[in-house]
Amino acid sequence: MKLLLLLSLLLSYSCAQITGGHHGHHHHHHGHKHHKKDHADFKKDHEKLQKDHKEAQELFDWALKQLEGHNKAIDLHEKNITKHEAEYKKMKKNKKSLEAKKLKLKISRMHKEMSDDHRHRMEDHKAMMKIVKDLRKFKKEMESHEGHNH
Amino acid sequence: MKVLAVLILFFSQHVFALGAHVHGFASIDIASEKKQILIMFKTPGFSAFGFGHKPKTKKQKAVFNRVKKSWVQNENLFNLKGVKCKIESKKFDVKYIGSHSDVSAEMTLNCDKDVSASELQINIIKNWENIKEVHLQLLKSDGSVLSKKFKKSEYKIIL
Repeated sequence: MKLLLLLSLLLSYSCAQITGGHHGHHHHHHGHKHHKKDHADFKKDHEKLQKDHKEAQELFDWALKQLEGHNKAIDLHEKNITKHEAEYKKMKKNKKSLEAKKLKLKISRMHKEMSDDHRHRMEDHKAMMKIVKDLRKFKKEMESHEGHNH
Repeated sequence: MKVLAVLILFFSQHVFALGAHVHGFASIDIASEKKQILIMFKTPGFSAFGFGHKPKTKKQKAVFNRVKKSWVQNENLFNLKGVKCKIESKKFDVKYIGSHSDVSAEMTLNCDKDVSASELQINIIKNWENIKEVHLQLLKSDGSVLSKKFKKSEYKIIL
């Protein structure tokens, strides 16, 4: 949920910049009409940010769910492999040859699936970390801006 | 919205990375024991029939039945050189998940002599045109698992 928090901070920061920027620059030099235009622009931007924020939140929720799903899948693979390996040993003892071989191939497939899952998980992790790096940069920028204002 | 753009890029990559169900791809596992051969097969429904959903039209039902029949009767899908084999048991299951499906099939062949070191020809790509690549696992007599990928319409392997 750290990412979600960072994203929320980032979006609030962008929102504050847009609203603050517009008002500060135009306030004293232009007439009533400009206020109206500013207000319309602000409203439009605000709506866009709200829409983007909602979409980003949904995307993050989805991503976290996917990553959790990966972890659960790996756990399940491990449990299944252990179970099948125990069964395989039992079958070998009872000399059920073809059945035991079938199980051995199944276990081999499970190992392959698990390593594929793991590889995907690492690829996803790498991609996610790229985004975290960007967010970290934004956070740093935002914090330095806050410090400057105070 | 740079972050949002990066996010969308990440998620689109993520979807592709998840693809365990790959159209055009099939897996075949083979083990033998004296005169018996066990063949296990898995592929998405799309690769077997050209569609993933349940057969609806007359044409789709005909395709489904033709593919199923070719498996349960081993119509030139697996041939052993110089060995005569009969089907001892067979299975052809299709599991539907939304608009996708997965085919899981098995057959056990009983042959007239020991099949170890015999040449097996696999014609699955030749007969089922939507399959483009096969990942084969063969359990050798020494207990090791040979793992191969092939795209040939007629693939030969020594058991």
